[in-house]
Amino acid sequence: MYAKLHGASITGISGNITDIEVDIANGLPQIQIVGLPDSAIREAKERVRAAIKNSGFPFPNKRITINLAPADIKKEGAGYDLPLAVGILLAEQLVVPSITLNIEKILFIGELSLDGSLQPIQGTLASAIAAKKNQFQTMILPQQNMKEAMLIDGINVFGFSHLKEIVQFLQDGSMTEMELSAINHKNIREQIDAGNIDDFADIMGQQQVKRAITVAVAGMHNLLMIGPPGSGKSMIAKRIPHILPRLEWDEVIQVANIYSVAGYGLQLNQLYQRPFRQPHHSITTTGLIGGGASPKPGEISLAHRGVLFLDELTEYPKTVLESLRQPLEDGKVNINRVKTSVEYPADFLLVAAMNPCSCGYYGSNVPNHSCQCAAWEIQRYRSKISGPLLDRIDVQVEVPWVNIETLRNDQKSQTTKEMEEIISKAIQIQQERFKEEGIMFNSEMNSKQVKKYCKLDSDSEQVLIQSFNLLGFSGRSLDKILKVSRTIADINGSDTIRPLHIAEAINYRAIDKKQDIN
Amino acid sequence: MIKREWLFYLSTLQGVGWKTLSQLMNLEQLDKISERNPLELSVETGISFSLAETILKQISIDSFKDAMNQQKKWEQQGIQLISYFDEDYPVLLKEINSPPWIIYAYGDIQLLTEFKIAVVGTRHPTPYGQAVCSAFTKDLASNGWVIVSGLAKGIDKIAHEAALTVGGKTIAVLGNGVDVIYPRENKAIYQQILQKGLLLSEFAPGVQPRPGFFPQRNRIISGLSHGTIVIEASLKSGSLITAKDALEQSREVFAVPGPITSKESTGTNLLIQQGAKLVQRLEDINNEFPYFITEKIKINNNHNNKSEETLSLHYNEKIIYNLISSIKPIHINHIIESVQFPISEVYENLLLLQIKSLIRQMPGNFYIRNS
Repeated sequence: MYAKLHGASITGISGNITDIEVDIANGLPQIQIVGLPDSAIREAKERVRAAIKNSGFPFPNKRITINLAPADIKKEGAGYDLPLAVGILLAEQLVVPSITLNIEKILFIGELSLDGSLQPIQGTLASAIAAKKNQFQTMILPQQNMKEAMLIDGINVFGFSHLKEIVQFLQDGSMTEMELSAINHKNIREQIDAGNIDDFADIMGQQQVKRAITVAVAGMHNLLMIGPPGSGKSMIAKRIPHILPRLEWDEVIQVANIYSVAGYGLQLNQLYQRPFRQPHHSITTTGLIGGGASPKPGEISLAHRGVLFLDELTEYPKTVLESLRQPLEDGKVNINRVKTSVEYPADFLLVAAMNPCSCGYYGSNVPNHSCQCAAWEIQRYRSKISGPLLDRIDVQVEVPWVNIETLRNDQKSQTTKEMEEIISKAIQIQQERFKEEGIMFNSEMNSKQVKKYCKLDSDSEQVLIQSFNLLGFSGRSLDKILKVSRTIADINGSDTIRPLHIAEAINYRAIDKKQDIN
Repeated sequence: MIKREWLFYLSTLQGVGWKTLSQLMNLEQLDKISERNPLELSVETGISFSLAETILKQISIDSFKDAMNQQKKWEQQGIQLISYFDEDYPVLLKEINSPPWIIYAYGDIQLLTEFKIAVVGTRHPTPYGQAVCSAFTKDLASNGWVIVSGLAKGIDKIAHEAALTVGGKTIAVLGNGVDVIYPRENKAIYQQILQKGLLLSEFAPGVQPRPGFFPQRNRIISGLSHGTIVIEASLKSGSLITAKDALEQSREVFAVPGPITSKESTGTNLLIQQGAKLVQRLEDINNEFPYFITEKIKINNNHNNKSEETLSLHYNEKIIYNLISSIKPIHINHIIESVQFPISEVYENLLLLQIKSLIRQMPGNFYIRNS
């Protein structure tokens, strides 16, 4: 008496299909699970035993051997409860599946309660992606996970709330009532709506900051905002995800998959929205980058295709900030453990905010608050951000404090929609240009590509050289300035980089500039 | 000559400061000091017995030789030692209540014989103070005055810089050894002064700054100078100490008035209340020194004729240049709101004006005219 069916486990953010073989033979009653199960799976036998019994079936008092294959991959999680239970029922022939069903082509996932009801699990989407890749036609899973799996085209998803219903379904080979209510994945896409968003029109004054943000987003340049407390840095940052272009469908799946694996579940109305993550500065390196004994994605992966906002950048521990360097460069992060090595995508726009000095008021115009920091204090405060990290932040902009008159009076303020239009035009130009380069945005250019695409006329060359001498930039600023100039030229619809583009780009190097600290 | 060497030698001993040194000066034969016992020394000079003991214990032929060698080393390095008894010792400094017995000079000591005026003020000047300090100092320096200040940050630094930009002369009086650069951020200006001006200190080379040293050196700043101008000072400012020293030394005190609402002008306005001369232009200072024949060197007087007609600015540049004042910095948001052209062009024109060094950018995206 033997049965074979399929389950799935998650490694990193991808699902692995597991063959599950159940053999029931005469002998001392016991359940043996082989094939690198973790403790959650070994405990499954108790849950499975109770669930089968409480669903009204006799539990076989025989020797049960279960093999999880391939045997060399470590299997984790409670998602194997359901296939184990179904496997035992099939092997003992307590359930005889309808001939219309091909058990081999069904993927079972789900956790069982002792009373036989199904509990939702994490990482359903990853399993569904794996199911599609391995040509499964059907998935049987807990009802709460149904919508998630339905995001994937070409798989019939059946959600149930109790083991008994599954047995019924397997015997009948169809779902008479439930089929009608089952939601087709096409419907799901239509349900997804942008909902209410914070608009940039709420930000009064700050024209030049909005402009800097437009530039940063258009070329996907990482952004640093420097300003006194209360100047609206956080308010501005929260609005940035909405001026990014809408996620493409495959990006939606990628992002939803990461959230699913991390155990955040699925929020349909937010699917097309870019993620916005704002970890507090008490975060650990593991929390930010990902990892742990059984690795989980960190904040940078949760911000994949979206915005990672680090408020009060100088307050983050130095080691935590330095760990950002490699993911910022590669757009992904590798976590290595003794038995596993996982890769999480981490392609995000870094938006950071900090005060100009430790008291917060250096160079600001806030009434009754003048900066009392000594020059060395300011230097020390700023040196908390290392050069290599600053190197990866192309746009640095000073956010001024806005007085009450401006807050009350400014009638016309640039809206999110207006900014989005400007940005999407610039992105189109870039995609046209980089068709054959394998990159998408100006910020991704390497130095060879900078030479090729950021040509200057003699006027611009002159302005660049003069301002380098005047403002005392370091050599490492050069490429950044050229890349940002390219983006500004794209925004202005200009093929060549002109002096005014250079001038604006230079203005976005707030921290690099040589300024006398008095 | 012997007295000078002994003076220097004694000054290098532990426990000997200005006061002890003045008391030891009372001795008839300084070079015979080691023949006395502590009690005699204490009675003759008025120093405490224990101090007399410590001093006598340190005196030896070897340590004397060491001190002489050290002095030679400094002289090779270019640091000159000027004692109270030397001809080079500035006459004005001799007149004050507690003249330093020894000063160390690093740079051009010819400056000590010229007409000197002290420019002092707060370490946290407002843009108004910065502009006024720069303008006054340039006028004074190009008129032949040697500018004396303390190489602190803020007004002191601006004064030194302004004097040097017009090709004038300047003396920095330090609260530490002349070969110690403090504060670090003044390294560039320190080196310029070393080349073109003079660094002065009563502390031996290598001595690190201590808070108590700065009020002490203020008496030298005012003592060296015919008059002292206070540009901006709050009520707690060290510049008021310099002004008080100047009064005690019966030198002229000038103060630049400021708005009564500005914290950094409370001190200067108080000085004016108490009788310091209010100055508005160069003549206000020169009039007080009829004997100072304005040499009218006019070393480099093209710094003030930057009227915009002569500048050949583009139309847009002119619009922006006119928005920017030389006293109150303007924020970029105000510029953007006041002009009719797009932000990129504002940035372009601001950068071009900076390249022409007509304006400069201040922290926080503020702009101000270069005075």
